[in-house]
Amino acid sequence: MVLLVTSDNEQFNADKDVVERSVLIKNMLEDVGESDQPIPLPNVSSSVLKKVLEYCEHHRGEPLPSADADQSQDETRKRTTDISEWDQKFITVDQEMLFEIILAANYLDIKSLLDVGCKTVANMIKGKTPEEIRKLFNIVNDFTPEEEAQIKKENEWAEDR
Amino acid sequence: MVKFGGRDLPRTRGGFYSLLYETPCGSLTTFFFSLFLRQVTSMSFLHRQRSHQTQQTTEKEAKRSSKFFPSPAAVENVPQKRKRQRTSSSSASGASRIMRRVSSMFLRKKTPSDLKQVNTALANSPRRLSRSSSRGSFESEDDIRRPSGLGRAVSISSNRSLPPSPFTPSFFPHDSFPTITAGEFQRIRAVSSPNLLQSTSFNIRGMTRRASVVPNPLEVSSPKRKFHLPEVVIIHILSHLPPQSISRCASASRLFASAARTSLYTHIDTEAFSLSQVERVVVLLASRSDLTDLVSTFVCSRWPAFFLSDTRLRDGHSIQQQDALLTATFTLALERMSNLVSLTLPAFDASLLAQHTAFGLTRLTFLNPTMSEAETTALFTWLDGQTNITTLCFPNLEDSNLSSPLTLKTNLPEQQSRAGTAPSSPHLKPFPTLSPYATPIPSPSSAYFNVPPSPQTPSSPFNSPTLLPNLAELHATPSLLMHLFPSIDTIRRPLKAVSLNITTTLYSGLRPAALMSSLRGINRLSLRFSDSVDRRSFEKVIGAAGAALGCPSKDALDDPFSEPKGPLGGLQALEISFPAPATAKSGRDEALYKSLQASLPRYKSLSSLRLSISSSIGSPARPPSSNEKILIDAWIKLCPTLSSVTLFSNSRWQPPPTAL
Repeated sequence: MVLLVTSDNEQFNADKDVVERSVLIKNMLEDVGESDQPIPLPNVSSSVLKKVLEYCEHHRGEPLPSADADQSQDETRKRTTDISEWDQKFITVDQEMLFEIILAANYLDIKSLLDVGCKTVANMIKGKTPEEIRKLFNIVNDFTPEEEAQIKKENEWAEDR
Repeated sequence: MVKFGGRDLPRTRGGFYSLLYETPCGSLTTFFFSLFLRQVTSMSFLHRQRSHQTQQTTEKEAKRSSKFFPSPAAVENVPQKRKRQRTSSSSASGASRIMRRVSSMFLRKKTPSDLKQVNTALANSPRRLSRSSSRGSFESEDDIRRPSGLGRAVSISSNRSLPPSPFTPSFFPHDSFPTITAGEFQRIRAVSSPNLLQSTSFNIRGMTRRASVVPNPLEVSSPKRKFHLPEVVIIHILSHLPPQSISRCASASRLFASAARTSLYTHIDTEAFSLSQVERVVVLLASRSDLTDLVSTFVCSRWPAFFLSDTRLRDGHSIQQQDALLTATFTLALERMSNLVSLTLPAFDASLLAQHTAFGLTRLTFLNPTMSEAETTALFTWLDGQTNITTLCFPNLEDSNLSSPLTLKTNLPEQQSRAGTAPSSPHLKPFPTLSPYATPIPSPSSAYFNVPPSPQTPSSPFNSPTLLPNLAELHATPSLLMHLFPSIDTIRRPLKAVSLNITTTLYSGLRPAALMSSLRGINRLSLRFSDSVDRRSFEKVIGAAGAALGCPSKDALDDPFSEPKGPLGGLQALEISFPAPATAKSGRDEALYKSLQASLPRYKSLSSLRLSISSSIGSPARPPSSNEKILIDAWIKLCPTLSSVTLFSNSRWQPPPTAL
């Protein structure tokens, strides 16, 4: 069992093979060795960690993607935005929580969870205009009109086939 | 307050609560409350009367409130002052207006936005708030906040999903003010007004709580926090999108523009684009050095239609000005990719790569199925000096049985024997010739020996010490490999992985023993036999591989000129593939198993053995059948280090996890 302490000082107990889906924690445990010391996670709040652990629990035992995974495999993984049924259900949360999960997965280095989160956001973005994207994510348009025109022109080639 | 009902209601009410709460004088509460109730009952009238005005202000209000109330969670950190301003600025809100008037009257303040006095009063107040509900001090606080018998807060929060109506008593139940219980701090109810109030009161005390996130379906459409994902995550998100969507994202904000640039230009695969897109992106790249600097992987599997390759020019195609211009632009764009790491091209093209200067290039792939003698020379002359290349792949290249590669081969042993007879040292070079295939003329000017060749010295492209000195991975054909690695090689390369496309046979130039002995020291070998390879040839190749690569060879250790290549552990992974499953009568598989059984005991550290059919690569693995298991067990007996075996039928054996 590994003890994790969140940013809001809540403690979570989890199995080693569950938390080791996080490369960050895995490396930390390897460095620290056997110890009862709690692992502080200052960038993750308890509500988010609860979700993250739920994900790790469900996917425990699945093989971790190796660091030197085939590049071509990596490419095909990236191009598809399919999400498995369980993951789909898991990631059906409000936007703020979705972003928090992505940030936590990025921080904890859980590649598959980061992928699920990013694919979900990618699916939200797909087919939307810049204005719709701004509205969707509450993004402030910080371009000057000239810059915006320039960016549009720069990427024009990708727009129409 | 304007939108009286729905989600806005609890918030407004929260603001109202806080007003009530902030009033230092407890006796005012009842007064306020009755006033407020009156206001509520007359709301329909107010609403009707000001419908035009409110219609306009509603949106503004919503925006304003969205600023101050990004999400129920974030609300906890909203400064007190803002909150008050918000309430007072609700011009359309009759209740708050009255509230303001009343409070200013009682507080003797000129401006309701001046909160200093209130804050001081609160700070000096004998009542001390505590998060702990067990404290007795809550009693007095409750006196202010809830008149009496108002039911549990849960009833309010559970009613949130009801259709909004100002007249639904449950939405503003004058008889159901929440009871403060220990559960009040549960995050799940962060949306409910009592919590809002509570958190506001914390802020008064200078206590801040970290904004928390509560999964709540209600929040989905509610005003949100400003977008706060870092660029690296946005790049990851964009990597899942097609170029069209990425380019749209680029116009969203500067952060997205930067991420989109990285996403669009770091890895360019022309296969994903239409011809007109390729033309346009090439023109863009040639003119924008900031974008070409981003490119680290460039994959061009087929020449674009406009491209005038050397072969096309030689064949005398009519040249159109437009094509010539685009070809020049393409060359220029590629030339400017100074941070290129991986390059894939349909074939080597001397004029395209002549000016190429990406010194960081480590991975090079050419997809051509054949390569003439002249092309080979040109390629290796160009490669000489590309010292950083660690991976060189010709995945589709085949040795043809025609005359031109044969002349290449027949010339080769001559060179090898020369190299072999000469003192073995990397600096000792045979007399340089202009062409490696021309017969060297013996000359008394043997002063060339012992002289390290300068880069200007014309020499054989294959013998140069600056030719691929860091090559670690090679995917080529036996004849090309023999050029690069003559059996007694004077140039040591840290080669670790080799894939060979074997199309020739013992009768057409394949020399298994020489081939394998030149590969000593590698730890991954993949043999891809074509259908044209006969049984005897592949048996020989597998036998030779076992003899040469199985374990640290004594020859290699005895060789005084051999440099230590790290742990000479022998081959760790062996893959043998055929293009199609064997037919029953060919007996290919049986012959293969037989020769494998003969050579397996020679491998001292082989851990992975994989037999595959190239057409079925990627299909899911399945557990071996009982017959296959017997075969695999026999192999493991012969080679105990094996930890993964895959058969032609795609059956994969791995030791049970407990054994690990």
